[in-house]
Amino acid sequence: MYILYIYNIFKDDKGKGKEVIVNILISNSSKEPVYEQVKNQIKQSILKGELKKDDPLPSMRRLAKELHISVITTKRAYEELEREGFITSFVGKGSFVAAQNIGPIQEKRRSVIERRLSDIAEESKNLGISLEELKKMLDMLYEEDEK
Amino acid sequence: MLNLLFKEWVINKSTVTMSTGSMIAAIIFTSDGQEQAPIFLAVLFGGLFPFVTGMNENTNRSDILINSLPVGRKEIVASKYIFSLLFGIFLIFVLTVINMLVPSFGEYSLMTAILSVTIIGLFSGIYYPLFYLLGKRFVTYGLTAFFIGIFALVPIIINAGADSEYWGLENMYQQFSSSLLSLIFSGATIVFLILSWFISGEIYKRKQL
Amino acid sequence: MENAVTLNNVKKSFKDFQLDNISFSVKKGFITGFIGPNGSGKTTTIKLMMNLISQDSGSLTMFGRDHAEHAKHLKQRIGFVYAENHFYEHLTVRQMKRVIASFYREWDEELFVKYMDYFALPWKKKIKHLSTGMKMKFSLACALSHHPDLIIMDEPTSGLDPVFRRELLTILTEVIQDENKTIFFSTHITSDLEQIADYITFIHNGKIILNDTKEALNDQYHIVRGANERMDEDARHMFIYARETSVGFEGLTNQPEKIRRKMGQHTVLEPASLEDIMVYTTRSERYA
Repeated sequence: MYILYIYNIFKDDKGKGKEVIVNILISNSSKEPVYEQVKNQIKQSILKGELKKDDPLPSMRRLAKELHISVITTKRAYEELEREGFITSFVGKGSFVAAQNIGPIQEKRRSVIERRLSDIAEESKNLGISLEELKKMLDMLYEEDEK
Repeated sequence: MLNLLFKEWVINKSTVTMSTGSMIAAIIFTSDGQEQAPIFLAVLFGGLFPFVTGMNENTNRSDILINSLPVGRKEIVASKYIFSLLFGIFLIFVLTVINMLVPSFGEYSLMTAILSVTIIGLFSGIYYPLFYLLGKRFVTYGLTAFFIGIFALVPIIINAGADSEYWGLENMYQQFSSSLLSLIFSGATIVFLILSWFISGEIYKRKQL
Repeated sequence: MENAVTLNNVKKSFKDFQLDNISFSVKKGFITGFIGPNGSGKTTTIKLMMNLISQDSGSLTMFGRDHAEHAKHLKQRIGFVYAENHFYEHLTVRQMKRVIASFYREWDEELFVKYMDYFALPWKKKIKHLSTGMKMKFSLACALSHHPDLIIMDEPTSGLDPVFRRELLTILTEVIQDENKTIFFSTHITSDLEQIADYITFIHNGKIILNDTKEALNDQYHIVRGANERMDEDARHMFIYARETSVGFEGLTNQPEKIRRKMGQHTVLEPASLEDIMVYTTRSERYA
């Protein structure tokens, strides 16, 4: 069974109408727990800059309803996002995207990728795989991921 | 309480119409145009009603629904008594009006009417505690007993009684005024009904649905 | 967290079955799924909550008040749906509605009409001529139209097609948008609850086996599959139930970390579904 729910977080752009900012896709067949799927996708949107500081997030109950998941699940996702500093919640007001120090975070993630790539380059040299071949492999993997 | 009586009315509408219609038909068919329509008919159909409504509740297993609604069990029981009595009064009223409208039927007696309501009350007072105690089985067996009683036993008793001057009751009856006796009888029945309602309520309160 | 319903050591004996000192609570503001095989005590528990039967011992409170003592008042706040039809068969939908509406102070006719339209229910049809699904829809419309704070449902999805089952779940999530509402929902079709339930209460043989958030159950309960060589007496104790065949074993555990440490890479661990939890636990001797 593969059930997919998509939810769009709308942002009211100062009277200019509603603009789709984020899609959340929940897959029931994924091994990743549902709360992590929600958490990671909101996190991605914040890191990519689709959600900006002070943008309101839907209430936990509303998100649960739209995604057809339990309130406790969205609650857990929001709590973890809050603990990791991505959002702030105010009682009675709701949850908002927190001020992000995105620069350092992205830099850190970049350096992780660089380190891994250097490992791969090393390994490829040892096996005699050319740069061209490696690029092809990467091309294929990249496209596969996007499907 | 009004909502329960309204419920009784809605669910028993067809029973009420059929019973009333049957009684009027019976009056027409049994009348010889000279004598009063026998009040016995109103008592008969009035007494039949608790059986029919009881069967109705049982086949619908309505206990579950009614007891899930915001209402107490004693009230549920009370509504049954009240509606049965009201229906009895209604039947006697209809019969009395017919007697009044047709002049050849002669005069009607208020005392007879009160006495008839009392008999229906007495009957309800015996019926409901047994109904709540025994449930489904009682309705079937009780109905059989009711018919045997009405059509076989009562005439036998009356005939036997007539032979022996009602075991001296007739003498006693003649010593007092009949109205006074009837009122005492009615009063005693009211006390009996209240007692019966209390017992039925206690039985029903303990019932596990 | 506030409780809508609390059962404390509730005991109820019948000739051939008993609820054995059960204790659990239904959290206010959430959907609690009440699961268990047929004959495990789900309906009996719900009948106790609805005060249709009374417990032999123990206490049952609703919104902090004794449920039997304040039954009449509390039932104004309860919406109920039962698996079996309990309406007067010979009445029309409209007549039955009128009777039910007359009992509730907060009956919202406009809301009821909305549900009637939404469910495409016929006003003039007699109850006995409605299909199972329609009876359920009518029952649901009645249960929701007096703005109840607590909705108690006994097997509402049995006899419903998947399309309406999904619709029902959507309606329930709509209701729960108001955090003062509580839903208690018994079923043996666990897939209905897999998605929307916040809490799961699992009853078996008249005993409460589990009462936790679905999230916690998802974290804790795993299905483990592996080769028979991996299984030994020590490992067996970590399983609630394990089935060993010639080609390997499959079992349910609530100690995934321990299993991972002990059995290592050659086993597969997957989060258990509610159905897995129900089926394996039912088989386990631990709860027989």
